[in-house]
Amino acid sequence: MEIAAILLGNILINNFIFSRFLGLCPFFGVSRRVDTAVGMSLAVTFVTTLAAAVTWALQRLILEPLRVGYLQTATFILVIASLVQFVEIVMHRFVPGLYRGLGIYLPLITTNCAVLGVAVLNGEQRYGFGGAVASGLAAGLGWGLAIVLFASVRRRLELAEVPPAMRGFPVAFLAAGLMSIAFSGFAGLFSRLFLR
Amino acid sequence: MSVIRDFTRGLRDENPVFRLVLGLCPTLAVTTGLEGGFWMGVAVVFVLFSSNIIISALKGIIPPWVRIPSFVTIIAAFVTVVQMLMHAFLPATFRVLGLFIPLIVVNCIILGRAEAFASKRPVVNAAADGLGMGAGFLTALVVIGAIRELLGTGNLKVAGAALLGAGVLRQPALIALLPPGAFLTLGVLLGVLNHFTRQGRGTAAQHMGFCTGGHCASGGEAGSAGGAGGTGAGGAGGVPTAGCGAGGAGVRCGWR
Amino acid sequence: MRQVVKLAVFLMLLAGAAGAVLALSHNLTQPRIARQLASEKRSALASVLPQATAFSDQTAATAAVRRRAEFADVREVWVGRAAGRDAGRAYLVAPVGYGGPVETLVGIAGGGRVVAVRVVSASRETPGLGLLVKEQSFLGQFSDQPAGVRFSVVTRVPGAAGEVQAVTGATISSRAVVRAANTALELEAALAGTRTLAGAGTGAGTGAGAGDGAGGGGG
Repeated sequence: MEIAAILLGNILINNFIFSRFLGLCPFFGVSRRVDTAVGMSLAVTFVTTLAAAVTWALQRLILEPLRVGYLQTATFILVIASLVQFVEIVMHRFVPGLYRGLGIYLPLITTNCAVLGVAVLNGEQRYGFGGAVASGLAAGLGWGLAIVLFASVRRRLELAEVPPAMRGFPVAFLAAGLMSIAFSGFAGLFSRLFLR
Repeated sequence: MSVIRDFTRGLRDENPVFRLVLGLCPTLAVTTGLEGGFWMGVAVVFVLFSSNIIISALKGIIPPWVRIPSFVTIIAAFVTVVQMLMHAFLPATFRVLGLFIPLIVVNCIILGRAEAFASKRPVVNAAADGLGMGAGFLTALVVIGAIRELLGTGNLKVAGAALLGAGVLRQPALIALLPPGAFLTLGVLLGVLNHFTRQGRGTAAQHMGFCTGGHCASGGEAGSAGGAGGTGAGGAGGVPTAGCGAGGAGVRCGWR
Repeated sequence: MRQVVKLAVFLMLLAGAAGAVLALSHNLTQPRIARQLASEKRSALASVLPQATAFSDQTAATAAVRRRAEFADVREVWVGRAAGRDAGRAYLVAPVGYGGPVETLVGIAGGGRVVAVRVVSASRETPGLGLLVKEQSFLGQFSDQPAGVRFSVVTRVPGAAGEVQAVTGATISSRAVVRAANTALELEAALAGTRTLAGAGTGAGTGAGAGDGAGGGGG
């Protein structure tokens, strides 16, 4: 039940883009086309899930027993960077088509706040291993959901008559704002579904 | 001369938030108040300034193949120092900024400047650039924070003191403090800025900066970063090089 | 191969240097941070149990009772004493609110009477809405209620005893604080029956004797 709550929470209720503001740079960067958005989401979800698992182990098995919690930021980001590099190599070997399609965006997942964000959040929430992995998975899925939805919206924006000053980023932000309002409608879902 | 220019560039022409549209996560998340925006800006100035100096000082001995992990290590160290300092001396602010302090390490601005500028220029210039970019970021955050706080609560609070008496709005627009308000505020701000500072090749705020990579160096992959081979052994992968928004030769990344 | 070794050694040295800097900063800032935490904890405890002059941490001692599912949110248990006599208990309960845990400190005197409630941390609640549960205008409703009453959230002006009016537009956060108060009351009742707390409970009841007579007069 807790896993379900975590999944629901990170995908809809506390969506990583529209609620938590994590992973915004690539969000505005990759969302011009739906197919790139989908590809990117898959890659990001893979990384967030893996990163959540590895950083959980790092935190519980190394940082805490040795009482070097203050090294969390540095070790997490280096682990994530290595993970992304590893994912790149694996993808290049096994799914070269997708690898080429993603191009430069793959290594940029390292700087995606959502990845480091979910790792740090998992530590704060004191999840167990299952919870941490679920949280990572949900973070990626939620991020992906947001970006794919947004990509479809932006396609339409391109065809719309936007005043010159608002073209590009400004109107994209306004669209994101409206979508954020829509997502905040999920707020009461927790207490309704998981009444304690 | 060039040092001064390196400083002012980050403030206006290449303001990381308003022009390069970088470092969005903290920009939207911590600007629920003027103070939050200010202290996040200060933290970023500290990290940018320090890491630019160190990276520039060490540029001779950092092997190119592992420069990204090296940069990340140095930046992460400074971010952690900021974390500790804030926790010790500004505990209330530390709690408000919360998750976004460690996230400074993945702030595109910092890694971007290290890669594009600090690792290629003398220490003094790198320092000026760091200060300038940081100051630009700080300014942007304070402006956005002030607007959102004003609209959302009708008042501005600094160090616990309300600056505008009992508030200037009878019914503040709470949405300004919520996530949607952040997006909307920045969108409108960017639109307004674009309107008044129309650039030659289309509006500047359309240009994407460093971290969104692919659009940079239009007409080719982003330099040596392309592909797995690029940055080599255990590196953090091909974070694109080249002067995207680095103002190297006034080159702007085109919006595809 | 030599190239790889060189790179690895460089990275190791760099990481070592960074680690050393961090360890140094940690040692320099940690005492101050610890002092701050302790003083914040003290002032929070003092604000929910104003009569007490000394506090003792009974979190470990109460672990057995707290293992029950309904007490999962309880983080800490403190006993307050004044002039050697029992002056109430304070419970730190952290139920989930809107965006995360709402750490609430509940001070309870003899007979299950809530002295005061303070929200220690609600960093995941919404500014301007959920965060307002930290305000005295909301929390004051928990004091001056009859002993042993169970709290409930209402969205109008409270009528019956134990009814607490939610912060407008922040029902979820308000409910979390109310849950915290109720959990604390239940734990108080459970502990009173077991005499687990050092010096608490002058008998089967919740110490409704001399200790509270002197201390609980105000309120």
